[in-house]
Amino acid sequence: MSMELDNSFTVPVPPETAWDVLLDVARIAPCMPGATVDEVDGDVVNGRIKVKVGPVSLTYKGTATFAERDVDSHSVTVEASGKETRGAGTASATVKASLAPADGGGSTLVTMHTTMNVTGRPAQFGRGVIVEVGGKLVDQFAGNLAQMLSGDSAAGAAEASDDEAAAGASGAAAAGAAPAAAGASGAAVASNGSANGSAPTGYPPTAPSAVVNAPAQEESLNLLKLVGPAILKRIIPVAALGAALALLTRRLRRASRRRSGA
Amino acid sequence: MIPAKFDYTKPASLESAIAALADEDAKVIAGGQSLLPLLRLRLAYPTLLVDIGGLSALRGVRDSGDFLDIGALTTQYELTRDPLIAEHCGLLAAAAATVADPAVRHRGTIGGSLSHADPAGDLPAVVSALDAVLVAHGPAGERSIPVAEFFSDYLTTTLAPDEILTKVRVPKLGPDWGYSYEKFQVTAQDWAVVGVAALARRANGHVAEARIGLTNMGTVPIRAAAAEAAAAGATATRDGLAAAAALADQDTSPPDDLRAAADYRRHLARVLTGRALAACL
Repeated sequence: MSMELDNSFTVPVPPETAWDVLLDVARIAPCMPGATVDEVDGDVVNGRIKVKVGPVSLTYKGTATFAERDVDSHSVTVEASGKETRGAGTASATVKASLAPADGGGSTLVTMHTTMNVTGRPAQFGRGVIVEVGGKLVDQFAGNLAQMLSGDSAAGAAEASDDEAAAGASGAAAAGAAPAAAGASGAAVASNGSANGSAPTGYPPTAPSAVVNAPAQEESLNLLKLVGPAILKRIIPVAALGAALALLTRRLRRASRRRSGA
Repeated sequence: MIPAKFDYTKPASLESAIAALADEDAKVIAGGQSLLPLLRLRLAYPTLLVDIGGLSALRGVRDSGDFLDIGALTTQYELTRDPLIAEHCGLLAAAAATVADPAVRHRGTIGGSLSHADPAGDLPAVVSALDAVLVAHGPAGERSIPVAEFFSDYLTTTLAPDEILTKVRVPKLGPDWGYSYEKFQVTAQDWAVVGVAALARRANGHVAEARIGLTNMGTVPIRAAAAEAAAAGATATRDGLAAAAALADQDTSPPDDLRAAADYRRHLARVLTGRALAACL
């Protein structure tokens, strides 16, 4: 079961600044709601993502990698894939993000195109629910990314990306200021994925060190649109049997109707 | 599958139940009719189940003047048999009778059904049409939540994780109110493909007021506001209400799933609303 999603938003930083952030895998990864970063190894992030809706939760464990980077067109491709920790399903996504100057170069228009594929239990739920769940995840990711990029304009992008090495007070203070500024300047961001008015839940992580190194704080995304009724309707054997019976009776009825010439 | 391992506690008082919910991975279990399937499929794995089944004070229907106070642990079976509900709030009994099968109804509770907030469940749309008030208890005390603010999304309510729904307060319906719950199912005892809970107050051969709650036309139970407005003032005949029924699916976002496509659900909503309104007269 695969789907494609498009998001775009504008951030008040010039493309070059946004570009630096976009290349920093360790900084983008925490933008994914419900994600925990276990290990960053160059361009590869190992981690988990927990998707929770009401009482239902699914956790995927896997990796996200920079597959491509094109400096000239300011575009990156991130490939992520994971397996359910408590099931046999998988999820994978390819995100292509590109930057374009806006407002005469002072701002950046970030365009994201996501292709997502889900197998296993969630895939049985049907297109509609998966698209909604996937869409919400990507919207939140876009929103968090936007907030992070805007927040950096206050703290200074160069300083923030040096945090990797520095554990000193100044580094921590700068990173600490960035999330705070991100919270305050959230209004500066225009996000036009599917209108998502509420503030992103997974970002910014309150501890400055979360921006610096893995593991970031784990926050399960309480995804509102969910799979619940779909699960209960589709997976429960009685329901599945009922549906099969309905199909069968419908076919038999149609066949007998044809025979009686109705 | 069998559920993942969990701890179990059966508190003897509401306060200790609320205290037990301080654990982030704790979950309330009452009748278990919605939760146990999730546990068995391992789609939910709380580490602690707080069994509130022993809190007998939360069971039963009480007369409170203009309202009925229904304890959250009242089972759906009890809803179908209670004399107070039969007399003053027949819609609830009628809808509860359509839930699943007798075995489920003897254990499933109204509180559990509402807290679980499955949009395909019958009771959420009914309490929505009744403009009920949900009363919850948490560490900070008691809180009354109007039903319009209770359901927020699929399987999600505005209850805090450490709050327990204790009471459902419904208004008493006078004799001038007619009611009906129309449920379309693929098989008997099945989830509703679409359900319509309708209330209509008759006056002088006209419909003075209508309330229509829709099951499974969105992520939460939806009030068909456009249809309600159109029904008010209409002549109390089937034809008079046809125009109102045609508006039943406005501002809804029905799901597309194994049972039905979204546009078929819209069609069902319109047809069932027409039938439900007619049955109210």
